[in-house]
Amino acid sequence: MSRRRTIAIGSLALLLLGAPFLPDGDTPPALETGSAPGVSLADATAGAGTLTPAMRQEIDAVLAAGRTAARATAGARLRPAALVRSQVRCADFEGQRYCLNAGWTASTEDQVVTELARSATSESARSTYREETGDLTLTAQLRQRAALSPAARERADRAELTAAARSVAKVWLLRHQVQGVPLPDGFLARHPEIRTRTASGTTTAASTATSAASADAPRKSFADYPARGRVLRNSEVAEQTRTYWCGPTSMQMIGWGWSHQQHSQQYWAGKLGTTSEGTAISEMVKVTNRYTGWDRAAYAGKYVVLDIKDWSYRQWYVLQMRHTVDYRAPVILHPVLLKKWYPYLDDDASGHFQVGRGYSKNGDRPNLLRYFEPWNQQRFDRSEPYIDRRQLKSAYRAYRANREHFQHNIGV
Amino acid sequence: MRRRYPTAVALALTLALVSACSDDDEPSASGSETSAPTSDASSTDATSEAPTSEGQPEPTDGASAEPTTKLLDWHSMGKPARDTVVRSPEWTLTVPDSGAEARLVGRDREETIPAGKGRRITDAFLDGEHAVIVAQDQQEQRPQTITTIELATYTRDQVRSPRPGPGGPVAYGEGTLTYAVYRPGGRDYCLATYDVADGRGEKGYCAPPREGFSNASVSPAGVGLMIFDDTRPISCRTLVSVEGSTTTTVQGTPECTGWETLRTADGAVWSVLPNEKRVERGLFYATHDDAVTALGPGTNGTLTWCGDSAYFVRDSQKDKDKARLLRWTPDDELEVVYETQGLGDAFLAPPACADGVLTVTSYAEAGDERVWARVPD
Repeated sequence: MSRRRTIAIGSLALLLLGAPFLPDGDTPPALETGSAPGVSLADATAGAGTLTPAMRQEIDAVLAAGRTAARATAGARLRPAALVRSQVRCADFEGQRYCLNAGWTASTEDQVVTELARSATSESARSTYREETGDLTLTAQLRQRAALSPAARERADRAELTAAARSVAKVWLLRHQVQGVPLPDGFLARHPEIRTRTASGTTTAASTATSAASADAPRKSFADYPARGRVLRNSEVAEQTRTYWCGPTSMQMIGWGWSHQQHSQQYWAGKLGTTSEGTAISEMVKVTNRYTGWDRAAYAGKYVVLDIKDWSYRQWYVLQMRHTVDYRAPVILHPVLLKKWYPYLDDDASGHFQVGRGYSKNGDRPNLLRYFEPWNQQRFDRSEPYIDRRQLKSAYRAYRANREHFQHNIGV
Repeated sequence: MRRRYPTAVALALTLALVSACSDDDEPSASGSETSAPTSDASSTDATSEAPTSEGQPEPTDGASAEPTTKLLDWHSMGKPARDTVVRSPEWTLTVPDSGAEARLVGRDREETIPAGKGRRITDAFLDGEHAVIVAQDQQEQRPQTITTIELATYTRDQVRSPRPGPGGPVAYGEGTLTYAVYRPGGRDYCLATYDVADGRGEKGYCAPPREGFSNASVSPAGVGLMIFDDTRPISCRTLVSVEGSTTTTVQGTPECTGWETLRTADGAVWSVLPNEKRVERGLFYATHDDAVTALGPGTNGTLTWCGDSAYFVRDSQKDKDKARLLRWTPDDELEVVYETQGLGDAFLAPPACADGVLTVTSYAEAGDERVWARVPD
């Protein structure tokens, strides 16, 4: 082996090993892809984009509809289904739909409202919900926002819609890269926030580095990814210290994995606005974007709440691989904790947050998903043994657990 | 100087390989893992893996059983909803996703059993004589309500003594109910056995301080249990049979790695975790007389007694495969009695048994289904 080649391999190895250890603010490391020498949109992701006049107009229209709904229901104690109809409204940004309290979805606004109204009604019909581990129920989420003053609610809605609008390029890219949806004409030119990784180790605006032809380059498929991948250190793992803190604990591990400095669960609960009712996935995504560097273009780009209802299992799994290998960043998993999906449980429990951290194709055996499990019931009673916080699981079971959650969404 | 570079590279790549492989339960298919990104690159991390049972001795000196396919006569119950259903020859007991009630439907009778205010139904059992409905409150602070219904007369009763704990494992079979007895924050954590026909029960085994138990099972041969301690980060788990207040370790089980057990006429069927990071996957064994037979991989949490045999689930073992239900017969034979439709990734929910009828719910890429069949008795 020549010395030059040895040094090159050594450099690559050290870069790969050291990449995630860089503190927030350092230059992102290179990620060599198999598709180099040039650049390919297959590896691209997007930071925050610019709010266009059309987006502002759409946001204003959605907020105006919200004001009308608020006036019509002022002072009334709404039933859960009415609460959904009054608060869940959707915006169209460049052909992608974002719904308040639901995330990015391929469903229509009517479909989203109808399904959530059914979920909310079902929730209220329960004499009690399952054991809570800290995922905010739909009704609680809507009531929290309904309790705000009209001005404060509108500010919150505007902030949520604005953040969504600025991340539309990420959503388009994911649908293109994983689901094969063609990009709209002029997409790259309109979104300089889309970055590709080059062989020289820098990120480059896709609009300048990628020709129209390469934008249509073959997508990365299951076969293009290595046999396994993993992010986050094994040692930077925690279990929730309160029954309703799966959100803060997952956030603790995500933040810890970024900075390698551990903040308390209390700290993250404050950032997330967690109450005893739990945490909303929209807050998990917002805080990941605001307080870690995982949202940089060199990593995952802006995290979004993505409805996976129209994602097949195989697409969902490629998304996990993409996050691990291309983004080198954790996933905010959002399953429902039922015994049939998670045999280590003693009881069925509520919606939940876990930290997705990789995968294993597992040879010719069924695919596996790696994750950190914050829930440790042994901490709260004596009917379950301590298990390892770092779990490998049938990816298909994990997918079904994600799909069965009433919001069927994920933070990516 | 020349020698240092290869050494450094080799070390770096070795560390990458170690960290990439260290928490998988299987070796790489390709054997080439250097391109997988990982942040677990430091030697500290690479060696700080929690202890696992990987590599610990397992009872491999005995025979192993290869299953033969003897599918039962399955009847479709349609596509499964989010409810849970157990069916006997005469009755069907359904708990909707809300857990707010249980519906018991017979040939000429239909009854609804409400969970009660602030409670949800967490378990529902059925056999030829009784239905048993268990409800608990959300934060497991109040005693569970356990309602028994004598099917012949429709007489309802409530389990009051020993007073049920607010949570913990519940199992039912052969007219015997087992449940946990404790108070939140209290010292005692005990297992009660209750004869449903007689309406009488007693407290038996009590876990020592800093220990607990779970995965209770009942079969004609008696009660099985997984007991565990508070060793961190992973409890030491032992599989036992229970007689009154005494426990006996199931013969042939290795130390600390057991997950569940079911007693049989001449021993037990049981599972261990070959990888502590993958709780859902067990290796199953049967102890009969003094011999141990390896039954192969299975899904933890699915071991069920029905008719004259022990049953457990084996999720799909290949990318394109079927999930299967296996039967360990009284003649010490392993049979495949159910397979999912089509090929792909697939798994089964734990089967439910009632009076010689098994209800199976399967989840598969090729399509979900719920079916029932009579089992040999």
